[in-house]
Amino acid sequence: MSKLRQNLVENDSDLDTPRVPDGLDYVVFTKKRDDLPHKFAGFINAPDDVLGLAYAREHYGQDEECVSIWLIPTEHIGGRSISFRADSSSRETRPFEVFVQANEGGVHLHQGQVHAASADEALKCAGDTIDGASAGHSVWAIDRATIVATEPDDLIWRHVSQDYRLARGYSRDVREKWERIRAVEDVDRYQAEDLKETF
Amino acid sequence: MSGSSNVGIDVDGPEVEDPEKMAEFQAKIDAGHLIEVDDWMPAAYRDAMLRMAEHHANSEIVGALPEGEWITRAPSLKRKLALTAKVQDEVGHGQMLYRVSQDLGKTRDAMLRDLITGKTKYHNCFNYPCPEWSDVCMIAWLIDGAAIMNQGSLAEGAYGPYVRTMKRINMEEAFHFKHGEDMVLTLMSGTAKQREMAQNAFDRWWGPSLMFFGPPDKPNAEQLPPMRWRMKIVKNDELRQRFVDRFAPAALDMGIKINVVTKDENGFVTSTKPDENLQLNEDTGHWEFTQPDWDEFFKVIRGNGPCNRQRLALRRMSYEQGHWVRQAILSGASSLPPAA
Repeated sequence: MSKLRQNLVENDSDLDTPRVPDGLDYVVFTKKRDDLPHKFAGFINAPDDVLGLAYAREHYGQDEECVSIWLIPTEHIGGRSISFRADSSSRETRPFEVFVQANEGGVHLHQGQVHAASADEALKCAGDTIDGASAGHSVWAIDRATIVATEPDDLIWRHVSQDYRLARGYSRDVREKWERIRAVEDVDRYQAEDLKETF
Repeated sequence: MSGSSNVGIDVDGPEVEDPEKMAEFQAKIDAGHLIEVDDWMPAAYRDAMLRMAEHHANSEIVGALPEGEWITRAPSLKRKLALTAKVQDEVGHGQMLYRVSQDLGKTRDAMLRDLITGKTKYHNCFNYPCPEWSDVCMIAWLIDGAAIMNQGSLAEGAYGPYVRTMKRINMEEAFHFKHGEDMVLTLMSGTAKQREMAQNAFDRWWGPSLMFFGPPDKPNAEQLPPMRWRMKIVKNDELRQRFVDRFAPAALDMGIKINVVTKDENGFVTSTKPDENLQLNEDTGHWEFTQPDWDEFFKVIRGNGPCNRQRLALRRMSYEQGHWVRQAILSGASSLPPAA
């Protein structure tokens, strides 16, 4: 055990360390391949956009290689949207990316882009023009300008095989070891139940 | 790595909810719909889901600590890599779960601090010591195995953000479990010394694994809020039985003996004897077994357990020492770490 761990002071008093504000929250979308849409991957919390992208590359480019990452500040999503003050005198439209969650419990997929003067208008437009939007369980229309993205030619990839940190990296070894102990049909039956029931 | 759907819920709390809204809320759950973060929910539900997600997040973070102790002492480079990846996963799971709690109304910083000062708790099993490498192996096999079963059940719950997080966590948990299985099989196929280490670690961790799913259910569990609101989906005893049905024969086939043990106040085994109840009931198809020591369970919960202070001291040190980093990032100024 390291000296550090051996010499820790145990106490449950209040912390002297000052509090710090929470960072910003972003929703993360990743695009696995060029021919696939951006798909909801999770969230990241970071002090700013630059670090947010850095953390997202590390966390979400991990077991899922991808060619593009989008971060969207959570304040622009769902019921907590800031409603963009629709400047009614201006008919200037701007691009909105449309994300559709087809069924309850599913994940949002990027389905396309519309041009509109406000988020509300974009949603309406999406309902008319984007596949699946009107029937979708949940639709988000996000101003393109608020999306923090990796550069198109950024490589988000792994230097080494990731098998050491994936179940598939151990399946064969485990199987071989079991077969030295149990009959093959018992191993088959055991592995047939293996974790699949939990997913 | 471990959600506890055993949070107490004070349904008759000070807030009296609109009966019509409550009925609608219940109907939504009964129909199998998911509750999302912006939906109406009774205060008791919001509070309970927040505490459940926070407890789970705390458990992931603290669960990484005993394993962190062993990264530098793992027996091979391959095991070091895998263990480092596991620890990284656990902390990531903690982040995801703090996120769920944040949306229910508490800041991350408050949650990190409440864990350190002992105001909030984490899963019981991480209060037990890990004196040997074989403990790391057993935890990955037994505890992560139990967690996958538990989380798989929680993934059928009603609160959308938490359900989605369970699914994601279980993807990574599969690696932890498979790797754990590989490590235990390696020990049990090895030298006499390795097999002895494995047996001793199993004696330390079989009890905590059985206790992982929570105490025996109250007879009216299905009528209580956690199950009515689909926060808990399967009863503790049923999950526990599933666990034994899968792991008891696997352990026995490997040559591990399943014992009933007594422990001292430091969490070390003081005596073992074979579990005489352990056998397959041909009629029911289930394995019978001796219940773990529930007195010990409640004593550990009340008194916090052998390693609690040590674990929290490490978290405190890490938080305090990390302050300059947080300050530097937020203020944008360059700064130096405090002198060692």
